[in-house]
Amino acid sequence: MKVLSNIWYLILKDFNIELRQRYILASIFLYVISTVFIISKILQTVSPMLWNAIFWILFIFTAVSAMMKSFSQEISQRSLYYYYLTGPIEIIIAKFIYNFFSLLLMGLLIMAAFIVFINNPIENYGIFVLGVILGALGVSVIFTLVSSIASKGGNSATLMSVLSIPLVLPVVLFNLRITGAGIGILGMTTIANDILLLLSIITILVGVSLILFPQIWRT
Amino acid sequence: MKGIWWKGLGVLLMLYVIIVGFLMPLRPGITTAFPQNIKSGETSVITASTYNARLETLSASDLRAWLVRDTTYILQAQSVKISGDQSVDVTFDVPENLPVDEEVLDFSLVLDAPEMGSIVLPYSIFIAKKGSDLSSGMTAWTSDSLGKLNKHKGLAIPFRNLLFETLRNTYFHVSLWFSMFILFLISVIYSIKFLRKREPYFDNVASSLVEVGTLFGILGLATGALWAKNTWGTYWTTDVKLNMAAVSMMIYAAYLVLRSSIKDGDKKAIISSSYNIFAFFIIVPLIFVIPRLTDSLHPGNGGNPGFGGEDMDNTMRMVFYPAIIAFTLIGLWMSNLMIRYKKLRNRIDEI
Repeated sequence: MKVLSNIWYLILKDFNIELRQRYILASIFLYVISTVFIISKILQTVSPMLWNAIFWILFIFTAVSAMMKSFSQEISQRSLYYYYLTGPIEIIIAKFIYNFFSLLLMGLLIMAAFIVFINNPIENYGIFVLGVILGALGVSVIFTLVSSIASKGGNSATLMSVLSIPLVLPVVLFNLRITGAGIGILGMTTIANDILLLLSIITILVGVSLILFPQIWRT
Repeated sequence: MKGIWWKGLGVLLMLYVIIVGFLMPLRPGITTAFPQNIKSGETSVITASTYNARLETLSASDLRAWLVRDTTYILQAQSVKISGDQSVDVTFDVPENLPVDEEVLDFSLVLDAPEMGSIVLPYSIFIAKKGSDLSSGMTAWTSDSLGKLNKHKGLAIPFRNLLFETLRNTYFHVSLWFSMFILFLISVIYSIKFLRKREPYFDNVASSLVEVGTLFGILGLATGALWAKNTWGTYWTTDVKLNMAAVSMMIYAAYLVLRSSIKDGDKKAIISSSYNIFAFFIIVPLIFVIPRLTDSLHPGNGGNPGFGGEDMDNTMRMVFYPAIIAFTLIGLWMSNLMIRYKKLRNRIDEI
Protein backbone atom coordinates (compact mmCIF):
# COMPACT_ATOMS: atom_id res chain seq x y z
CA MET A 1 0.00 0.00 0.00
CA LYS A 2 2.92 2.25 0.82
CA VAL A 3 4.12 1.94 -2.79
CA LEU A 4 0.72 2.91 -4.20
CA SER A 5 0.38 5.94 -1.95
CA ASN A 6 3.93 6.98 -2.81
CA ILE A 7 3.10 6.77 -6.51
CA TRP A 8 -0.08 8.77 -5.91
CA TYR A 9 1.82 11.53 -4.08
CA LEU A 10 4.47 11.66 -6.79
CA ILE A 11 1.75 12.10 -9.42
CA LEU A 12 0.14 14.82 -7.30
CA LYS A 13 3.53 16.49 -6.95
CA ASP A 14 4.01 16.55 -10.74
CA PHE A 15 0.49 17.89 -11.14
CA ASN A 16 1.17 20.66 -8.64
CA ILE A 17 4.37 21.65 -10.38
CA GLU A 18 2.44 21.71 -13.64
CA LEU A 19 -0.22 23.98 -12.12
CA ARG A 20 2.38 26.31 -10.65
CA GLN A 21 4.05 26.66 -14.06
CA ARG A 22 0.89 27.37 -15.98
CA TYR A 23 2.78 29.08 -18.78
CA ILE A 24 4.09 25.67 -19.95
CA LEU A 25 0.57 24.30 -20.31
CA ALA A 26 -0.56 27.45 -22.04
CA SER A 27 2.39 27.41 -24.40
CA ILE A 28 1.72 23.79 -25.42
CA PHE A 29 -1.93 24.65 -25.98
CA LEU A 30 -0.95 27.62 -28.15
CA TYR A 31 1.65 25.53 -29.98
CA VAL A 32 -0.99 22.97 -30.96
CA ILE A 33 -3.62 25.51 -31.98
CA SER A 34 -1.28 27.69 -34.02
CA THR A 35 0.32 24.71 -35.78
CA VAL A 36 -3.05 23.26 -36.70
CA PHE A 37 -4.11 26.67 -37.96
CA ILE A 38 -0.99 26.93 -40.13
CA ILE A 39 -1.57 23.43 -41.51
CA SER A 40 -5.16 24.25 -42.41
CA LYS A 41 -4.13 27.50 -44.09
CA ILE A 42 -1.28 25.92 -46.08
CA LEU A 43 -2.97 22.72 -47.21
CA GLN A 44 -6.53 24.06 -47.76
CA THR A 45 -8.01 20.62 -48.51
CA VAL A 46 -6.68 17.66 -46.52
CA SER A 47 -7.34 14.08 -47.63
CA PRO A 48 -8.02 11.51 -44.86
CA MET A 49 -4.65 9.85 -45.49
CA LEU A 50 -2.81 13.16 -45.06
CA TRP A 51 -4.99 14.03 -42.05
CA ASN A 52 -3.89 10.84 -40.33
CA ALA A 53 -0.22 11.39 -41.13
CA ILE A 54 -0.16 15.03 -40.01
CA PHE A 55 -2.03 14.13 -36.85
CA TRP A 56 0.75 11.78 -35.74
CA ILE A 57 3.57 14.08 -36.86
CA LEU A 58 2.12 16.89 -34.76
CA PHE A 59 1.55 14.43 -31.92
CA ILE A 60 5.22 13.36 -31.88
CA PHE A 61 6.60 16.88 -32.03
CA THR A 62 4.28 18.22 -29.37
CA ALA A 63 5.15 15.22 -27.22
CA VAL A 64 8.88 15.92 -27.64
CA SER A 65 8.49 19.48 -26.44
CA ALA A 66 6.12 18.49 -23.62
CA MET A 67 8.23 15.58 -22.36
CA MET A 68 11.50 17.47 -22.51
CA LYS A 69 10.92 18.89 -19.06
CA SER A 70 9.83 15.56 -17.56
CA PHE A 71 13.15 14.93 -15.87
CA SER A 72 15.22 18.02 -16.59
CA GLN A 73 12.85 20.13 -14.47
CA GLU A 74 13.93 18.20 -11.39
CA ILE A 75 16.77 19.95 -9.65
CA SER A 76 19.46 17.52 -8.60
CA GLN A 77 19.11 18.22 -4.87
CA ARG A 78 15.41 17.59 -5.10
CA SER A 79 15.92 14.25 -6.88
CA LEU A 80 18.32 13.27 -4.13
CA TYR A 81 15.49 14.02 -1.70
CA TYR A 82 13.06 11.78 -3.62
CA TYR A 83 15.71 9.13 -3.68
CA TYR A 84 15.69 9.02 0.09
CA LEU A 85 11.90 9.10 0.36
CA THR A 86 10.95 6.56 -2.31
CA GLY A 87 12.44 4.03 -4.70
CA PRO A 88 13.25 4.58 -8.40
CA ILE A 89 10.55 2.09 -9.47
CA GLU A 90 7.88 4.24 -7.83
CA ILE A 91 9.27 7.37 -9.45
CA ILE A 92 9.25 5.90 -12.95
CA ILE A 93 5.76 4.43 -12.53
CA ALA A 94 4.47 7.79 -11.35
CA LYS A 95 6.14 9.46 -14.35
CA PHE A 96 4.62 6.88 -16.72
CA ILE A 97 1.13 7.49 -15.39
CA TYR A 98 1.47 11.26 -15.30
CA ASN A 99 3.00 11.43 -18.79
CA PHE A 100 0.40 9.04 -20.14
CA PHE A 101 -2.47 11.23 -18.98
CA SER A 102 -0.85 14.45 -20.16
CA LEU A 103 -0.11 12.96 -23.58
CA LEU A 104 -3.64 11.57 -23.79
CA LEU A 105 -5.09 15.01 -23.07
CA MET A 106 -2.71 16.50 -25.59
CA GLY A 107 -3.75 13.92 -28.21
CA LEU A 108 -7.42 14.66 -27.64
CA LEU A 109 -6.68 18.38 -27.86
CA ILE A 110 -4.92 17.88 -31.20
CA MET A 111 -7.84 15.75 -32.39
CA ALA A 112 -10.36 18.44 -31.42
CA ALA A 113 -8.28 21.15 -33.06
CA PHE A 114 -8.02 19.07 -36.25
CA ILE A 115 -11.79 18.55 -36.32
CA VAL A 116 -12.52 22.24 -35.75
CA PHE A 117 -9.93 23.83 -38.01
CA ILE A 118 -9.31 21.25 -40.76
CA ASN A 119 -12.10 18.71 -41.25
CA ASN A 120 -13.57 15.61 -39.70
CA PRO A 121 -12.87 12.36 -41.58
CA ILE A 122 -13.35 10.16 -38.49
CA GLU A 123 -15.85 7.37 -39.13
CA ASN A 124 -15.42 5.24 -36.04
CA TYR A 125 -14.70 7.34 -32.94
CA GLY A 126 -14.21 4.28 -30.72
CA ILE A 127 -11.36 2.90 -32.80
CA PHE A 128 -9.80 6.32 -33.35
CA VAL A 129 -9.77 7.23 -29.66
CA LEU A 130 -8.44 3.75 -28.87
CA GLY A 131 -5.60 4.51 -31.30
CA VAL A 132 -4.91 7.82 -29.52
CA ILE A 133 -4.96 6.11 -26.10
CA LEU A 134 -2.54 3.40 -27.25
CA GLY A 135 -0.39 6.06 -28.92
CA ALA A 136 -0.22 8.08 -25.71
CA LEU A 137 0.67 4.89 -23.83
CA GLY A 138 3.47 3.82 -26.18
CA VAL A 139 4.93 7.28 -26.72
CA SER A 140 4.83 8.12 -22.99
CA VAL A 141 6.70 4.89 -22.11
CA ILE A 142 9.47 5.58 -24.62
CA PHE A 143 9.71 9.32 -23.94
CA THR A 144 9.83 8.87 -20.17
CA LEU A 145 12.91 6.68 -20.31
CA VAL A 146 14.55 8.69 -23.08
CA SER A 147 14.01 11.97 -21.27
CA SER A 148 15.60 10.47 -18.16
CA ILE A 149 18.58 9.48 -20.33
CA ALA A 150 18.71 12.82 -22.15
CA SER A 151 18.58 14.81 -18.91
CA LYS A 152 21.90 13.19 -17.94
CA GLY A 153 23.54 14.27 -21.20
CA GLY A 154 24.91 17.71 -21.87
CA ASN A 155 22.64 19.39 -24.39
CA SER A 156 19.40 17.72 -23.38
CA ALA A 157 16.99 19.51 -25.76
CA THR A 158 18.74 18.38 -28.96
CA LEU A 159 19.65 15.04 -27.45
CA MET A 160 16.02 14.38 -26.59
CA SER A 161 14.79 14.76 -30.17
CA VAL A 162 17.74 12.87 -31.65
CA LEU A 163 17.24 9.95 -29.27
CA SER A 164 13.47 9.75 -29.15
CA ILE A 165 12.16 10.34 -32.66
CA PRO A 166 13.71 7.24 -34.26
CA LEU A 167 12.88 5.15 -31.20
CA VAL A 168 9.22 6.12 -31.24
CA LEU A 169 8.72 5.09 -34.87
CA PRO A 170 7.61 1.44 -34.46
CA VAL A 171 4.92 2.45 -31.96
CA VAL A 172 3.68 5.32 -34.13
CA LEU A 173 3.52 3.11 -37.24
CA PHE A 174 1.15 0.77 -35.43
CA ASN A 175 -0.92 3.71 -34.24
CA LEU A 176 -1.05 5.05 -37.78
CA ARG A 177 -2.68 1.78 -38.82
CA ILE A 178 -5.15 1.76 -35.93
CA THR A 179 -6.30 5.38 -36.39
CA GLY A 180 -6.27 4.76 -40.14
CA ALA A 181 -8.89 2.07 -39.54
CA GLY A 182 -10.82 4.57 -37.41
CA ILE A 183 -10.79 7.06 -40.29
CA GLY A 184 -11.79 4.41 -42.78
CA ILE A 185 -8.72 4.41 -45.04
CA LEU A 186 -7.67 0.97 -43.81
CA GLY A 187 -9.77 -2.12 -43.28
CA MET A 188 -10.75 -3.49 -39.89
CA THR A 189 -9.46 -6.98 -40.62
CA THR A 190 -5.97 -6.62 -39.17
CA ILE A 191 -6.80 -4.25 -36.33
CA ALA A 192 -7.01 -6.85 -33.52
CA ASN A 193 -3.65 -8.20 -34.59
CA ASP A 194 -2.14 -4.68 -34.68
CA ILE A 195 -3.42 -3.84 -31.20
CA LEU A 196 -2.08 -7.10 -29.80
CA LEU A 197 1.35 -6.56 -31.35
CA LEU A 198 1.47 -2.95 -30.16
CA LEU A 199 0.49 -3.97 -26.63
CA SER A 200 3.17 -6.65 -26.58
CA ILE A 201 5.82 -4.16 -27.76
CA ILE A 202 4.69 -1.68 -25.06
CA THR A 203 4.77 -4.41 -22.39
CA ILE A 204 8.34 -5.33 -23.33
CA LEU A 205 9.37 -1.66 -23.27
CA VAL A 206 7.75 -1.09 -19.87
CA GLY A 207 9.59 -4.13 -18.52
CA VAL A 208 12.92 -2.97 -19.94
CA SER A 209 12.37 0.57 -18.58
CA LEU A 210 11.58 -0.74 -15.10
CA ILE A 211 14.84 -2.68 -15.10
CA LEU A 212 16.95 0.11 -16.61
CA PHE A 213 15.62 3.17 -14.80
CA PRO A 214 17.07 2.35 -11.35
CA GLN A 215 20.52 2.15 -13.00
CA ILE A 216 20.11 5.53 -14.72
CA TRP A 217 18.63 7.15 -11.62
CA ARG A 218 21.59 6.19 -9.47
CA THR A 219 24.09 8.22 -11.55
CA MET B 1 49.63 -17.59 -30.93
CA LYS B 2 46.75 -17.83 -28.52
CA GLY B 3 43.62 -16.17 -29.81
CA ILE B 4 44.89 -15.85 -33.36
CA TRP B 5 43.26 -18.93 -34.87
CA TRP B 6 39.80 -17.41 -35.17
CA LYS B 7 41.14 -14.29 -36.85
CA GLY B 8 42.93 -16.51 -39.35
CA LEU B 9 39.76 -18.54 -39.82
CA GLY B 10 37.81 -15.34 -40.48
CA VAL B 11 40.27 -14.18 -43.13
CA LEU B 12 40.45 -17.61 -44.79
CA LEU B 13 36.67 -17.91 -44.90
CA MET B 14 36.41 -14.37 -46.32
CA LEU B 15 38.93 -15.26 -49.05
CA TYR B 16 36.95 -18.45 -49.75
CA VAL B 17 33.73 -16.45 -49.99
CA ILE B 18 35.21 -13.88 -52.35
CA ILE B 19 36.95 -16.43 -54.60
CA VAL B 20 34.24 -19.08 -54.75
CA GLY B 21 31.43 -16.57 -54.59
CA PHE B 22 32.66 -14.66 -57.62
CA LEU B 23 34.07 -17.55 -59.66
CA MET B 24 31.27 -20.09 -59.38
CA PRO B 25 29.36 -19.72 -62.66
CA LEU B 26 25.69 -19.03 -63.04
CA ARG B 27 23.56 -21.88 -64.35
CA PRO B 28 22.40 -21.52 -67.98
CA GLY B 29 19.21 -19.61 -68.55
CA ILE B 30 17.07 -17.81 -71.12
CA THR B 31 17.20 -14.03 -70.89
CA THR B 32 14.74 -12.99 -73.62
CA ALA B 33 12.48 -14.53 -76.21
CA PHE B 34 11.36 -12.72 -79.37
CA PRO B 35 8.70 -12.28 -80.66
CA GLN B 36 6.63 -12.44 -77.51
CA ASN B 37 3.27 -12.39 -79.24
CA ILE B 38 2.38 -15.11 -81.73
CA LYS B 39 -0.89 -16.26 -83.26
CA SER B 40 -2.42 -19.69 -83.12
CA GLY B 41 -2.75 -21.61 -86.36
CA GLU B 42 0.56 -20.25 -87.70
CA THR B 43 4.13 -21.47 -87.77
CA SER B 44 6.28 -19.08 -85.76
CA VAL B 45 10.00 -18.84 -85.18
CA ILE B 46 10.97 -17.65 -81.71
CA THR B 47 14.51 -16.44 -81.13
CA ALA B 48 15.59 -17.16 -77.57
CA SER B 49 18.72 -15.51 -76.14
CA THR B 50 20.48 -17.74 -73.68
CA TYR B 51 23.01 -17.03 -70.96
CA ASN B 52 25.98 -19.27 -70.02
CA ALA B 53 24.46 -22.02 -72.14
CA ARG B 54 27.72 -23.01 -73.93
CA LEU B 55 25.81 -23.69 -77.11
CA GLU B 56 29.02 -24.36 -79.08
CA THR B 57 29.44 -27.66 -77.22
CA LEU B 58 25.96 -28.81 -78.21
CA SER B 59 24.63 -30.12 -81.48
CA ALA B 60 21.20 -29.08 -82.68
CA SER B 61 19.88 -32.62 -82.36
CA ASP B 62 20.54 -32.57 -78.58
CA LEU B 63 18.33 -29.54 -78.09
CA ARG B 64 14.64 -29.91 -77.42
CA ALA B 65 12.13 -27.13 -76.78
CA TRP B 66 8.54 -26.75 -75.61
CA LEU B 67 5.86 -24.22 -74.86
CA VAL B 68 4.39 -25.13 -71.49
CA ARG B 69 1.47 -23.91 -69.39
CA ASP B 70 0.79 -25.33 -65.90
CA THR B 71 2.72 -28.51 -66.91
CA THR B 72 -0.51 -29.86 -68.42
CA TYR B 73 -0.62 -28.06 -71.78
CA ILE B 74 2.54 -28.82 -73.70
CA LEU B 75 3.60 -28.17 -77.32
CA GLN B 76 6.89 -29.57 -78.58
CA ALA B 77 8.90 -27.50 -81.06
CA GLN B 78 9.00 -28.47 -84.71
CA SER B 79 12.73 -27.82 -84.92
CA VAL B 80 15.46 -26.15 -82.88
CA LYS B 81 18.38 -24.40 -84.56
CA ILE B 82 21.45 -22.84 -82.98
CA SER B 83 21.67 -19.42 -84.59
CA GLY B 84 24.49 -17.73 -82.69
CA ASP B 85 26.84 -17.88 -79.74
CA GLN B 86 24.01 -17.34 -77.29
CA SER B 87 20.84 -17.60 -79.32
CA VAL B 88 18.55 -20.37 -80.47
CA ASP B 89 15.81 -20.31 -83.12
CA VAL B 90 12.85 -22.43 -82.15
CA THR B 91 10.11 -23.18 -84.66
CA PHE B 92 6.64 -23.91 -83.33
CA ASP B 93 3.71 -25.16 -85.35
CA VAL B 94 1.00 -23.66 -83.17
CA PRO B 95 -2.38 -25.45 -83.35
CA GLU B 96 -5.45 -23.58 -84.39
CA ASN B 97 -7.31 -23.88 -81.10
CA LEU B 98 -6.29 -23.02 -77.58
CA PRO B 99 -7.09 -25.34 -74.65
CA VAL B 100 -8.53 -22.59 -72.43
CA ASP B 101 -11.26 -20.12 -73.38
CA GLU B 102 -9.23 -16.88 -73.25
CA GLU B 103 -8.38 -14.30 -75.89
CA VAL B 104 -4.66 -14.51 -75.07
CA LEU B 105 -2.83 -17.22 -73.14
CA ASP B 106 0.69 -17.02 -71.68
CA PHE B 107 3.15 -19.88 -71.98
CA SER B 108 6.61 -20.59 -70.64
CA LEU B 109 9.44 -21.43 -73.00
CA VAL B 110 11.48 -24.49 -72.00
CA LEU B 111 14.78 -25.58 -73.55
CA ASP B 112 16.54 -28.81 -72.70
CA ALA B 113 19.84 -30.45 -73.61
CA PRO B 114 22.17 -32.93 -71.94
CA GLU B 115 24.93 -31.27 -69.81
CA MET B 116 23.10 -27.92 -70.00
CA GLY B 117 20.00 -29.21 -68.24
CA SER B 118 16.55 -27.73 -68.74
CA ILE B 119 16.11 -23.96 -68.72
CA VAL B 120 12.88 -21.98 -68.53
CA LEU B 121 11.70 -18.48 -69.33
CA PRO B 122 8.41 -18.25 -67.42
CA TYR B 123 5.26 -16.54 -68.81
CA SER B 124 7.16 -15.26 -71.83
CA ILE B 125 5.18 -16.22 -74.92
CA PHE B 126 1.65 -14.94 -75.49
CA ILE B 127 -0.54 -16.77 -77.99
CA ALA B 128 -3.62 -15.06 -79.41
CA LYS B 129 -6.78 -17.10 -79.97
CA LYS B 130 -7.97 -17.97 -83.45
CA GLY B 131 -10.35 -20.93 -83.40
CA SER B 132 -12.80 -21.47 -80.57
CA ASP B 133 -13.03 -25.25 -80.53
CA LEU B 134 -11.94 -26.07 -76.97
CA SER B 135 -12.00 -29.86 -77.24
CA SER B 136 -9.77 -30.00 -80.31
CA GLY B 137 -7.48 -27.44 -78.58
CA MET B 138 -7.37 -29.73 -75.60
CA THR B 139 -6.26 -32.72 -77.64
CA ALA B 140 -3.73 -30.67 -79.63
CA TRP B 141 -2.12 -29.23 -76.51
CA THR B 142 -2.04 -32.40 -74.39
CA SER B 143 -0.66 -34.88 -76.94
CA ASP B 144 3.00 -33.87 -76.44
CA SER B 145 4.94 -34.60 -73.29
CA LEU B 146 8.14 -33.24 -71.78
CA GLY B 147 9.72 -36.70 -71.60
CA LYS B 148 12.82 -37.06 -69.49
CA LEU B 149 14.38 -33.67 -68.65
CA ASN B 150 18.12 -33.33 -68.13
CA LYS B 151 19.82 -31.90 -65.03
CA HIS B 152 22.62 -29.38 -65.23
CA LYS B 153 26.04 -30.93 -64.63
CA GLY B 154 28.69 -29.12 -62.62
CA LEU B 155 28.66 -26.67 -59.72
CA ALA B 156 26.70 -23.52 -60.46
CA ILE B 157 24.37 -21.12 -58.70
CA PRO B 158 20.75 -20.71 -59.84
CA PHE B 159 19.85 -18.54 -62.78
CA ARG B 160 17.10 -16.13 -61.77
CA ASN B 161 15.50 -13.64 -64.09
CA LEU B 162 16.10 -9.98 -63.14
CA LEU B 163 18.75 -11.02 -60.60
CA PHE B 164 21.22 -12.68 -63.00
CA GLU B 165 24.77 -12.22 -61.72
CA THR B 166 23.67 -9.92 -58.87
CA LEU B 167 22.47 -13.06 -57.08
CA ARG B 168 26.03 -13.21 -55.68
CA ASN B 169 25.23 -10.13 -53.61
CA THR B 170 23.33 -12.51 -51.30
CA TYR B 171 26.70 -13.54 -49.86
CA PHE B 172 27.52 -9.96 -48.91
CA HIS B 173 24.28 -8.04 -48.37
CA VAL B 174 22.43 -10.70 -46.38
CA SER B 175 25.48 -11.88 -44.42
CA LEU B 176 26.37 -8.30 -43.45
CA TRP B 177 22.92 -7.86 -41.87
CA PHE B 178 23.15 -11.25 -40.17
CA SER B 179 26.52 -10.50 -38.63
CA MET B 180 25.42 -6.96 -37.70
CA PHE B 181 22.62 -8.48 -35.70
CA ILE B 182 24.94 -10.98 -34.05
CA LEU B 183 27.31 -8.15 -33.07
CA PHE B 184 24.44 -6.07 -31.63
CA LEU B 185 23.21 -9.08 -29.67
CA ILE B 186 26.64 -9.69 -28.11
CA SER B 187 26.87 -5.96 -27.39
CA VAL B 188 23.55 -6.05 -25.50
CA ILE B 189 24.80 -9.01 -23.46
CA TYR B 190 27.90 -7.01 -22.52
CA SER B 191 25.78 -3.96 -21.67
CA ILE B 192 23.74 -6.10 -19.27
CA LYS B 193 26.96 -7.53 -17.84
CA PHE B 194 28.24 -3.99 -17.33
CA LEU B 195 25.12 -2.84 -15.49
CA ARG B 196 25.43 -5.83 -13.15
CA LYS B 197 29.17 -5.80 -12.50
CA ARG B 198 30.09 -2.13 -13.17
CA GLU B 199 33.33 -3.21 -14.80
CA PRO B 200 34.40 -0.47 -17.31
CA TYR B 201 35.87 -3.14 -19.58
CA PHE B 202 32.37 -4.51 -20.37
CA ASP B 203 31.15 -1.08 -21.50
CA ASN B 204 34.25 -0.76 -23.65
CA VAL B 205 33.39 -4.08 -25.34
CA ALA B 206 29.71 -3.15 -25.80
CA SER B 207 30.44 0.24 -27.37
CA SER B 208 33.10 -1.18 -29.71
CA LEU B 209 30.69 -3.86 -30.89
CA VAL B 210 28.01 -1.24 -31.55
CA GLU B 211 30.47 0.85 -33.57
CA VAL B 212 31.47 -2.09 -35.78
CA GLY B 213 27.84 -3.26 -36.00
CA THR B 214 26.77 0.18 -37.18
CA LEU B 215 29.51 0.13 -39.83
CA PHE B 216 28.23 -3.27 -41.02
CA GLY B 217 24.69 -1.91 -41.08
CA ILE B 218 25.77 1.03 -43.25
CA LEU B 219 27.63 -1.40 -45.56
CA GLY B 220 24.46 -3.52 -45.63
CA LEU B 221 22.45 -0.46 -46.70
CA ALA B 222 25.06 0.36 -49.37
CA THR B 223 25.16 -3.16 -50.85
CA GLY B 224 21.37 -3.20 -50.73
CA ALA B 225 21.20 0.13 -52.56
CA LEU B 226 23.50 -1.18 -55.32
CA TRP B 227 21.41 -4.31 -55.59
CA ALA B 228 18.22 -2.26 -55.77
CA LYS B 229 19.75 -0.14 -58.56
CA ASN B 230 20.37 -3.28 -60.62
CA THR B 231 17.08 -5.04 -59.99
CA TRP B 232 14.44 -2.42 -59.08
CA GLY B 233 16.07 0.36 -61.11
CA THR B 234 16.64 2.82 -58.29
CA TYR B 235 19.03 3.13 -55.35
CA TRP B 236 16.34 3.88 -52.81
CA THR B 237 12.58 3.49 -52.68
CA THR B 238 10.09 4.29 -49.96
CA ASP B 239 9.85 0.63 -49.06
CA VAL B 240 9.12 -0.32 -45.42
CA LYS B 241 12.05 -2.67 -45.00
CA LEU B 242 14.48 -0.07 -46.36
CA ASN B 243 13.09 2.71 -44.19
CA MET B 244 13.05 0.57 -41.06
CA ALA B 245 16.66 -0.44 -41.69
CA ALA B 246 17.61 3.23 -42.12
CA VAL B 247 15.76 4.16 -38.92
CA SER B 248 17.56 1.44 -36.97
CA MET B 249 20.86 2.88 -38.21
CA MET B 250 19.65 6.31 -37.00
CA ILE B 251 18.96 4.81 -33.57
CA TYR B 252 22.52 3.52 -33.33
CA ALA B 253 23.91 6.79 -34.70
CA ALA B 254 22.00 8.46 -31.82
CA TYR B 255 23.80 6.04 -29.48
CA LEU B 256 27.13 7.39 -30.73
CA VAL B 257 25.90 10.98 -30.32
CA LEU B 258 24.75 10.18 -26.79
CA ARG B 259 28.15 8.73 -25.88
CA SER B 260 30.01 11.77 -27.12
CA SER B 261 27.64 14.16 -25.32
CA ILE B 262 28.47 12.88 -21.84
CA LYS B 263 31.90 13.75 -20.49
CA ASP B 264 31.98 11.87 -17.19
CA GLY B 265 33.23 8.33 -17.90
CA ASP B 266 31.21 6.36 -15.37
CA LYS B 267 27.96 8.18 -16.13
CA LYS B 268 28.60 7.80 -19.87
CA ALA B 269 28.98 4.04 -19.47
CA ILE B 270 25.79 3.59 -17.44
CA ILE B 271 23.61 5.83 -19.62
CA SER B 272 24.82 4.42 -22.92
CA SER B 273 24.48 0.82 -21.72
CA SER B 274 20.88 1.49 -20.73
CA TYR B 275 20.17 3.12 -24.08
CA ASN B 276 21.82 0.23 -25.92
CA ILE B 277 19.55 -2.32 -24.23
CA PHE B 278 16.45 -0.17 -24.79
CA ALA B 279 17.35 0.39 -28.45
CA PHE B 280 17.83 -3.31 -29.12
CA PHE B 281 14.31 -4.08 -27.95
CA ILE B 282 12.96 -1.49 -30.39
CA ILE B 283 15.12 -2.70 -33.31
CA VAL B 284 13.61 -6.20 -33.16
CA PRO B 285 10.03 -5.13 -34.04
CA LEU B 286 11.39 -2.50 -36.45
CA ILE B 287 13.30 -4.95 -38.62
CA PHE B 288 11.51 -8.23 -38.07
CA VAL B 289 7.84 -7.46 -37.31
CA ILE B 290 6.67 -4.31 -39.11
CA PRO B 291 8.04 -5.08 -42.61
CA ARG B 292 6.16 -8.41 -42.55
CA LEU B 293 2.83 -6.65 -41.92
CA THR B 294 2.78 -4.28 -44.90
CA ASP B 295 3.47 -4.56 -48.61
CA SER B 296 7.12 -4.63 -49.44
CA LEU B 297 9.31 -5.20 -52.47
CA HIS B 298 12.04 -6.69 -50.33
CA PRO B 299 12.25 -10.49 -50.33
CA GLY B 300 11.00 -12.12 -47.14
CA ASN B 301 8.42 -9.42 -46.34
CA GLY B 302 4.81 -8.50 -46.99
CA GLY B 303 3.86 -11.69 -48.78
CA ASN B 304 7.08 -11.88 -50.79
CA PRO B 305 8.89 -15.15 -50.27
CA GLY B 306 12.34 -14.95 -48.76
CA PHE B 307 15.29 -16.55 -50.42
CA GLY B 308 14.56 -20.20 -50.23
CA GLY B 309 13.64 -23.05 -52.52
CA GLU B 310 15.00 -22.35 -55.97
CA ASP B 311 16.65 -19.06 -55.06
CA MET B 312 18.84 -20.42 -52.31
CA ASP B 313 19.98 -23.92 -53.17
CA ASN B 314 22.73 -26.02 -51.71
CA THR B 315 25.46 -24.61 -53.95
CA MET B 316 24.67 -21.12 -52.64
CA ARG B 317 24.51 -22.30 -49.03
CA MET B 318 28.06 -23.61 -49.49
CA VAL B 319 29.15 -19.98 -49.73
CA PHE B 320 26.39 -18.19 -47.81
CA TYR B 321 26.89 -19.85 -44.40
CA PRO B 322 30.69 -19.42 -44.45
CA ALA B 323 30.08 -15.77 -45.44
CA ILE B 324 28.02 -15.16 -42.28
CA ILE B 325 30.72 -16.76 -40.12
CA ALA B 326 33.47 -14.84 -41.93
CA PHE B 327 31.78 -11.45 -41.51
CA THR B 328 31.02 -12.16 -37.85
CA LEU B 329 34.60 -13.20 -37.10
CA ILE B 330 36.05 -10.20 -38.94
CA GLY B 331 33.58 -7.95 -37.11
CA LEU B 332 34.71 -9.41 -33.79
CA TRP B 333 38.32 -8.85 -34.79
CA MET B 334 37.59 -5.23 -35.72
CA SER B 335 35.87 -4.61 -32.41
CA ASN B 336 38.74 -6.34 -30.64
CA LEU B 337 41.08 -3.75 -32.19
CA MET B 338 38.71 -0.96 -31.12
CA ILE B 339 38.69 -2.29 -27.54
CA ARG B 340 42.49 -2.33 -27.42
CA TYR B 341 42.69 1.14 -28.96
CA LYS B 342 40.30 2.53 -26.34
CA LYS B 343 42.23 0.83 -23.54
CA LEU B 344 45.46 2.49 -24.71
CA ARG B 345 43.64 5.79 -25.18
CA ASN B 346 42.43 5.62 -21.57
CA ARG B 347 45.93 4.90 -20.35
CA ILE B 348 47.27 7.93 -22.25
CA ASP B 349 44.48 10.09 -20.81
CA GLU B 350 45.41 8.96 -17.31
CA ILE B 351 49.02 10.04 -17.84
